Amino acid sequence: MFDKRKDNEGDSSALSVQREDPRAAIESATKTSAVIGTKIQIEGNIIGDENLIIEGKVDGTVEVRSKDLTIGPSGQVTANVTARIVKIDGTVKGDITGLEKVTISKTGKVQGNIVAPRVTLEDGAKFKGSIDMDPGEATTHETPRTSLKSPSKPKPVGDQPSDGVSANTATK
Amino acid sequence: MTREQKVVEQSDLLPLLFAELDSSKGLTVFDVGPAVPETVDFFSQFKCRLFFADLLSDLSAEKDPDDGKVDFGELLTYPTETRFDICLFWDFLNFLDVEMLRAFNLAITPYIHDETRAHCYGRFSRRSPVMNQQFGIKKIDEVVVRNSNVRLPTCYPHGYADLRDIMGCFSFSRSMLLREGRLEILMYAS
Repeated sequence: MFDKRKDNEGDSSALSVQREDPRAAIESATKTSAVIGTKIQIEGNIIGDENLIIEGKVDGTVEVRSKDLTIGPSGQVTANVTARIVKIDGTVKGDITGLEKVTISKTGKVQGNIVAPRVTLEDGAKFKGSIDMDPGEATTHETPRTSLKSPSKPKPVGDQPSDGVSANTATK
Repeated sequence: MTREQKVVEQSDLLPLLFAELDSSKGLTVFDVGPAVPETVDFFSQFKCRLFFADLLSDLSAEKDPDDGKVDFGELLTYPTETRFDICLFWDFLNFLDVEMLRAFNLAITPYIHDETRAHCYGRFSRRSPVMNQQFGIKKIDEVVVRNSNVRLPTCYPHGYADLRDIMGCFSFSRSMLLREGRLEILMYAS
């Protein structure tokens, strides 16, 4: 049911690096991912401790807390999912918890609630639901790029001209 | 602007939306439109909760042909303790007739608190066109505008006075006339 796929499968140059550099070989060996193929359909809970790629259909829950989860372009997941990093190229209906990051790519379609320190949407991504973000919880602490300081809140000016354009109206 | 293009517009009113807003406790933001990358990216620097309702797609898809109405009470169902600090209505209100506008005002009211502020686009006049566009916040004073290809429902361009009279949960603060008769409006909870 689960295939093992090495990230550098079929890459001869990567294999030659493995022979020459033991550290690279170790790193490469740990970069394996379990794959749920396009013709696999699972109903139930998936709990694991290795990277997971879902190309098929999953109904239930998916939990790979310390690893990465990728919903491939053909993946259809109706489940609450939890992973360290979640990347969605396919379709997800359910709540998503990314302990580090959630990315919805341009082919991704998500309906549900996302909780993650950082969330990225690519142009074309479809999302409906809520996003809970707290950059302070991310492993890489970044200071806010933008200050919310801006001119003071103006007092409501009461009735406006009947055409609705206030005195400071300007055409851009 | 072609279908695929997006443009960035300066906004003089958008910064006022964030004035004196304490972001340290976290922001709760309601965006009536679909999620766009720029808005998510902009708010990603803050502790926040963003609600993307994408109501226009519901309005297009679920509109009952018998009465032409949608039930906002069903569409806007958030946890009861939810209170929005910022509401981004963009030009959605121009796709609601007067009756639906009243219903939307009623549906959104439970989620408004004393300091809620909102932003929307009305129209300078009822003859001003409503374009098929999506909006997002790129910077505190920049709005990104994309052409959209979603099927649009019937539009009802609303002027300032129409919106002010119907959206009773807000008092209208300032407005700015933009190109194509688009009227940018800033509102505060009343």
